[in-house]
Amino acid sequence: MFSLTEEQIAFIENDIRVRGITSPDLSIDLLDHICCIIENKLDEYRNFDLVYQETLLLFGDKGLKEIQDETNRVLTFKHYYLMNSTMKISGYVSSLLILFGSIFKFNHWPGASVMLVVGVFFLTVLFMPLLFILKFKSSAENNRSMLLSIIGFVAALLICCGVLFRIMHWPDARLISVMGGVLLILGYLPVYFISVHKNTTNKMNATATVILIIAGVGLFITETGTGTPRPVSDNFWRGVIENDALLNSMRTDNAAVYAKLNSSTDSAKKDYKPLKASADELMNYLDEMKIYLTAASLDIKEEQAKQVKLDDLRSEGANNTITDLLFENDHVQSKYTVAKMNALVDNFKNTVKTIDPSADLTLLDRKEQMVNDKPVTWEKANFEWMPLPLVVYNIIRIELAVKNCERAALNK
Amino acid sequence: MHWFLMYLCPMYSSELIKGTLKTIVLKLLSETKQMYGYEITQKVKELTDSKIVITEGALYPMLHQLEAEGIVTTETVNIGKRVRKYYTLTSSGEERAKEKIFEFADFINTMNVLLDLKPRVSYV
Repeated sequence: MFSLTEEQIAFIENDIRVRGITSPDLSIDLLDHICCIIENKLDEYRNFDLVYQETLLLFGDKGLKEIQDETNRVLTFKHYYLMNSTMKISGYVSSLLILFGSIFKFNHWPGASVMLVVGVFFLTVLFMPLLFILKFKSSAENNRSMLLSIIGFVAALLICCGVLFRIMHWPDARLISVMGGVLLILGYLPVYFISVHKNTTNKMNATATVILIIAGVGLFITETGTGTPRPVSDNFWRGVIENDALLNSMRTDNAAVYAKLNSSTDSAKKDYKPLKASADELMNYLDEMKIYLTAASLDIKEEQAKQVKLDDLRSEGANNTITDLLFENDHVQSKYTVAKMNALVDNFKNTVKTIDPSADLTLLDRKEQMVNDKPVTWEKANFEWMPLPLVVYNIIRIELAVKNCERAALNK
Repeated sequence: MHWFLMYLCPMYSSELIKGTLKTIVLKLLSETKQMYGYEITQKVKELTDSKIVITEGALYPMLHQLEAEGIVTTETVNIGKRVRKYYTLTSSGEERAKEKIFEFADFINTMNVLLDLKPRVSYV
């Protein structure tokens, strides 16, 4: 039996590496194995190169690399079937939860948020990572498709989280969605387009996919940004702006009356201190409520919301955010609610009554109203499923009523 | 499914061999304490008169899996100018080998009954 020379062994070792064997453990096995085969075949009539090529044929076209792939698969995929079934089950569960969660949310039934959060959790924490790992393993030999998978995975993750954040009124929802969308359009699409466009049979499909993704993401980002706009008539809006101006002038007027009372030596003046305190508390609450709702509805910081002018809100559409916050629907936590507001209004009314038992407080009554020929509570008629400008306007109307009652009490 | 094609063997269908490969290797290792890959393939060829040929594509992934599961350990020895890796059963591996062989013998008996075969050779 022949023995291979050091050069020949080094040649084989290098060739194995060139043929894609990266695992040092496996390359020891294969080097020895190939050497053994060659040494048994080699005799004085046959040359090394010929026998080596012959030996490689035993492994088939992708033979050596395939052994490594198979080894990796066996080692990393001991739990392949478990992963596969987990992926399927979590996919079914999350799609069902999200489907029913959306139906519930649409109909304003309780429990929608829990379903959506759990559904998206299953989708992002179980389904998508498993899908990514399994898909990535099956196309491991192609670097471009791996890059594509990673970008697609991250973009999908961001978009899902963005939607969830938006539904739950958590902060930075818009930022997350937009990041996902931008990554999809600027990162995923170019790579996808280039890799598929070379393949002529898929050209049509690729173009269609690209168009669909751009259209979908575009609409999605627009929707998250604006809600559904509902036009407000010019006349109505003029009234809103005028009322806001009137409110501001009443603020100054009332402040002037207080200043005058303060400087006077009239013995009755101390009576007005509790009135001022109660009115100020209520007015502060209502002012902050407007900023809070504006910030939540436009998905901006409260500092930014303070800079927003009333006129800028005119075209804002209706969205669930305001209603969920004002009524604390679906376990939403809110700093400002209709219930707390009502408590403060009642407190203010009581204060006025102690000063002037005969005071007319009908402006602050909360009477049932007729909406579409059905009696509806005052709270629902004024604050439920209303676009932001109308909600703000209704708060301004309450503020005006407060200032009016305060003025009337002061004039007594 | 290239995985099945790796089991190409001259006599028996790949389905038949697939489930027995591990048993064969464990049995060989339990008899011959220490073996290297090429030796295993040659031994099987020799013992079965070339009726069963274990391919590299099936053997090495399985050996590495057995190593990961702690059924075999490896030892590298310098052979001239290259390194040879010897595979040895661990004590849990020896248990596993016995179980596998017993299971297969039982299977053959069941198949004998099921297919109404006349036993020609007693393996156990």
